[in-house]
Amino acid sequence: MSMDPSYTPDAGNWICANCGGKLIQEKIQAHYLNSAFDVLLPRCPQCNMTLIPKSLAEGKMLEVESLLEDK
Amino acid sequence: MDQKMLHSIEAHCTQEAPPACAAACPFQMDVRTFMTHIAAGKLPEARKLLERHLPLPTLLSRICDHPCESSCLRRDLGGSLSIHALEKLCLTAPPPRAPFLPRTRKTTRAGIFGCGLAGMVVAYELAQKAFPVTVYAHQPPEEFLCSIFPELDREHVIPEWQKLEKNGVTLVLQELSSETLALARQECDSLFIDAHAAPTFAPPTKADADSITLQVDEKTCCGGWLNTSPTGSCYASASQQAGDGRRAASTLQRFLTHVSITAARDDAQEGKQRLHVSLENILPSERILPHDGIHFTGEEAQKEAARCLQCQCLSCVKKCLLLEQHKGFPRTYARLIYNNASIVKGQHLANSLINGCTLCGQCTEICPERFSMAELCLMARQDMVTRQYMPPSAHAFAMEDMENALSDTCSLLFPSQKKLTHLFFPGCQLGAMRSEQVLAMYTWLQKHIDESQLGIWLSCCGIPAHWAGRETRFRDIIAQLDTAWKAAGEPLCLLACASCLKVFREFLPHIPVASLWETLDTMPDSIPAPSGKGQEYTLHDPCATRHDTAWQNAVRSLAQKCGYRLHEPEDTKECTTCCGYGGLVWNARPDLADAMIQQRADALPHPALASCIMCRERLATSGKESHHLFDILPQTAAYSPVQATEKEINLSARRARRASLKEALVQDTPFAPPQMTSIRFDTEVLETMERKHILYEDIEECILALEKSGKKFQETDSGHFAGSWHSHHVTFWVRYSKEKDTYLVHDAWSHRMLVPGTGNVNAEDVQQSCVGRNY
Repeated sequence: MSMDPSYTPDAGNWICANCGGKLIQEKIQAHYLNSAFDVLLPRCPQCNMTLIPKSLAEGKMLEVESLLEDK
Repeated sequence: MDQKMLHSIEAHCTQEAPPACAAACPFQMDVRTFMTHIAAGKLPEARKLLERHLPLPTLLSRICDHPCESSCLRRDLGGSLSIHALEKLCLTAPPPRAPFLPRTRKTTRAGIFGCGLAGMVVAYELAQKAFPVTVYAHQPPEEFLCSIFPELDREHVIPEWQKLEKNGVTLVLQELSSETLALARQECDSLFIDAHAAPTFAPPTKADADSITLQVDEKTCCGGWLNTSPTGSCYASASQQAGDGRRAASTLQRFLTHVSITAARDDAQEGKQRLHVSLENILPSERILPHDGIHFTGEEAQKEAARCLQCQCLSCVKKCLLLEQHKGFPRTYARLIYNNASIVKGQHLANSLINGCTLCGQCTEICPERFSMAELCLMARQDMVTRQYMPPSAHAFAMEDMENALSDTCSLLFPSQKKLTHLFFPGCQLGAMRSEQVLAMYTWLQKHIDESQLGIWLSCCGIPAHWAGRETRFRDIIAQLDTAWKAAGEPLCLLACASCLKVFREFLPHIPVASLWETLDTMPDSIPAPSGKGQEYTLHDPCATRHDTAWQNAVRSLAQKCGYRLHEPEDTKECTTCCGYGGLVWNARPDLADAMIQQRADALPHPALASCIMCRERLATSGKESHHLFDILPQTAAYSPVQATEKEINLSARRARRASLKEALVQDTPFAPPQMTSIRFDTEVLETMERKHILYEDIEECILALEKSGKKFQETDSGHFAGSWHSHHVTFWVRYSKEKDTYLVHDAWSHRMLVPGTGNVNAEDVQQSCVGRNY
């Protein structure tokens, strides 16, 4: 199972509202049902916040979730 | 499920059983495919098929007495297909090129004593398997066969015999005497006696040999007896003699190779017609006759073959979208489900099939053998839950909703601490969606059934847990219901939900129950005057009432008393169709459930009248004008919160309304629909939330947490905020803006995958979550 490595925000110029900093694409490990995936996502490293774009949640992520659920 | 159980389940589906023509043929000739080839003008393909099924195909095609034609189901619909004539036509096509297969000659020898058609077929079959064969005959085979079957000429038989000789068949021409028989027994390891060519040495009738193996003693088989017509004359039936030949050859081969003579014989079921075929709506089509009365032209043959009904059962598949979508039939599904439970590694390919069944039982009603997909799928779900491979998302939301209905916030048995004689049990969904009408009905019942003796019970029967295969939780709920009922003085329960009624009857059989509709129908003052003006409805029976004629009759009677004209849809009463709520398909496979209700809605010509609130909800969601029975009864009609074409109350509001209904009852105040003032939604967002099962409270919780912690993102152009919150194993996302004291929600989404830095999830939570397989 592999996910495309990098996902950027769907549209617009997103910043961290907590610190006002810019988001950077950073590697993070996503987990589901005993499986882990490294994926590059927009993050605010200072505030430890990750943004999951809607297109990812309802697209590839959903697809992988259901594949893992049937494993 | 073990193999034995699987086989017994599979046996209930006849789709793979041979059709009538093949069942009547001793060689189980695949007439359906044969006709498909001919209809497509593919004569060489048809001949290839013929040669694969028939022994001595060039001879048998000419002389067969075609029992297939007398059992053809076209018989009374324009006349049986001309199978025999089409087989003969095939012989005009070039024979298939036989591949050269070098085979080691076997060392054990078979003997054929007397060479009629049966004997020659035995020789053909065993020679094909590389056994050396000696044929003892008193005259050359072509002479004997041509004297019996006038359709045969020497030039037909001699080439076939020459082929046999090439394949290791030796002819010994001598008088068929006891001495020759003794010699044959001595020289051969097993023996076939042709009862037609050597009648003195065979038992007088077929009944004297074993019916499956045709053995007369351990090493010897007999076959090829003459048939007797009803008028007493004897004749040779080519199909039966050749059939005996194949059967005997199978026995001899098994004997020569030292395997069981009787185990797993394909021919044991011969002649038994099991495939169910519905001839409903099939129009007659006249037999196509050859232009010269004898030979078909290619075009005529194509037309004749196209009359083939291609007999199949698929009765259930034609009605059920799930069965159709998975491109199989119950027999193959049983195997898939068995394999799904048996695999050690890899994908569980049948999960979506198992969770796509509404458990409604329509297939069982339609099936002549009463195959039950519901039993199969429910058993599989229970196994998946026990062995922890049920997909977590399949039923999670439905389980949460059930727990909400059972929670202290929403459930109520009122008045408590009282011995009651009657208890109104509206069901968790009716109470949530039609709270005002439930209250109105309760008030009316109080006036007409002794007030002090009547109570109301807001709860859930636990059917969602049963449907989800969560049997332990379901049994807990049943036990709780039983305890509560006993504490209330063991009253008669009046139920307004068909599923609840079914659960009570099946799992709490000692509790006296009746449907609300039967009760109202028998009360003389329940419908004082008709309110309808002859408007028309097509009835939609809930699938849970499939066998509840009392419910069905009461609903019809009440609606008629109310002044409505009712129509029955094609699938009604015991054959009614599920709305897609059953079996939690709406949760596990929402797209399939939507297709199911769309198909049902399209099959109801007038506005629909349902006696189950979930049926009405799903019909309305499909855009169908529909009403619940509460919408026409005088006690409740004025209190409907929705119009005929309006969808029901959404998922979030249902939960809030359950709590409000309880509050109204306990505090004896009018029902007040709950309001959400601090958050507003774009219209499309509400639809997305409904589809993704995201509730107001999830959004509210999320926004409050984001506003408190400040841990959110912002889009600089629009000023919109976005952030997430993790709850109930799901991470919810919301994009919103703030306007004075209210929040305006522009979008919402969710996922189950855990990602550090989303919601309140950090890396340590993620590590811990990996310990358990099932949430």
